[in-house]
Amino acid sequence: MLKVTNLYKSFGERTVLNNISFELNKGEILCLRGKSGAGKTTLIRCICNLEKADKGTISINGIESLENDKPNKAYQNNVGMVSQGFDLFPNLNVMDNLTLAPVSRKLMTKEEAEKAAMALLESLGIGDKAKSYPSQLSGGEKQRVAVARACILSPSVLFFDEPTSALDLASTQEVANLIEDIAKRDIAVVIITHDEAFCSMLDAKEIVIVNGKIAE
Amino acid sequence: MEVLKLMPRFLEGLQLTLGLWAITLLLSLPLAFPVAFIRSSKNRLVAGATKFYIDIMRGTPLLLQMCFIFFGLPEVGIVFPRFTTAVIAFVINYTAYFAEIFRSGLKSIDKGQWEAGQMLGISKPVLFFKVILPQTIRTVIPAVTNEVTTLVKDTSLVYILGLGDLLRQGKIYANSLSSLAPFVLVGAIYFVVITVISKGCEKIEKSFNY
Repeated sequence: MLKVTNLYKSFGERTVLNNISFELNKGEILCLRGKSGAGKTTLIRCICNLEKADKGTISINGIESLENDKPNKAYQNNVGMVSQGFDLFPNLNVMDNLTLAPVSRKLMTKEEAEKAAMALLESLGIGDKAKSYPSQLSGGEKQRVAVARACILSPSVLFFDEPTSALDLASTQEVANLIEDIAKRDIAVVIITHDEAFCSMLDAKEIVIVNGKIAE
Repeated sequence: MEVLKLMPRFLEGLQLTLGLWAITLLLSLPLAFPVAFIRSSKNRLVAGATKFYIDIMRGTPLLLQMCFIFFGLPEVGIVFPRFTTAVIAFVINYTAYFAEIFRSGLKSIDKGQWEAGQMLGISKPVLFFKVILPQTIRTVIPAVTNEVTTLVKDTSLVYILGLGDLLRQGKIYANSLSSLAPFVLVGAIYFVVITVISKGCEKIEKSFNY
């Protein structure tokens, strides 16, 4: 499904991604491990079209990430991201954070979007937070909102950037459970992390990146 | 309380003061957003030209800018009536200040917000008006409040054009009555007006309750 082939990316003189290739099927979880600066974040930013690779191709279900050298809209619908800071919209409440994309893109009516959003929030155990603003939520709740916001668009691949960077062990286990639940919905999950213990909690493939290359 | 009989004269002056204040805000606040955007443009020519405009507006007295338009431009055949002159000078001057405030506000919004919008496929205009703009407005309200209150006082500069604003009425009657009382009254009117405006701005700031 997700297929990354011979990806290269440099910032000036520095080669950040050096011939990266891997594949991932639906329902699978992939842990991308590596030290800070190894190129993990750049890799998923390239896959999400937030950064442009110098060489190589990326496709999901056969749809290429670029079309005429520009981000391909049909591709973009397949990727969702839960960034490290979650990047919720602070001026909108949880419900509006979820419904802004599907409603403004005319993928759903407001009623449909609100119904879908509520179902997602409830399945993530935060149904009571629909009217709260992001500043009123705990870190774990914000993460769940970010997951719900990405999932309402039914992505094929969901990316997590350092989902456990500031969590204690018990919360880390909760995030692991959350991610396994997501994978059960036939979404492929890619996680960037430097946390080996977290990876071992998951039934996941592992790729270790060292200096922009996949370590054997 | 002889001076209170002059109240209608002062209210006429206040009308001009507040009229100029309101027109300046109505025009310069919306204009400042595109200027802030152009000033942040990657095109160095337009960004540089906008910076030059802002530098001139901030680097020279407003009084001088008004004199230039009213006494200078007629030399090349461009003549504006007094009040129009005041409006033009105030709008181009305050737009420069507001643009810099908005630019700093826009810069303060985390890049992650734009990227989150992009990942969700939200169009840039929708993201701007629903997410970025409301946050920017909240960020800049304290700085804008400063300018908005300063503007009330700056309008007294129109005496140079012979316009009868609040302060000029005070001066006329202070001279003719040989009394400080008109000045005291005018000062009190300014104070009340500015207090009301500040309170209004505070209310707006509090209405962003997230």
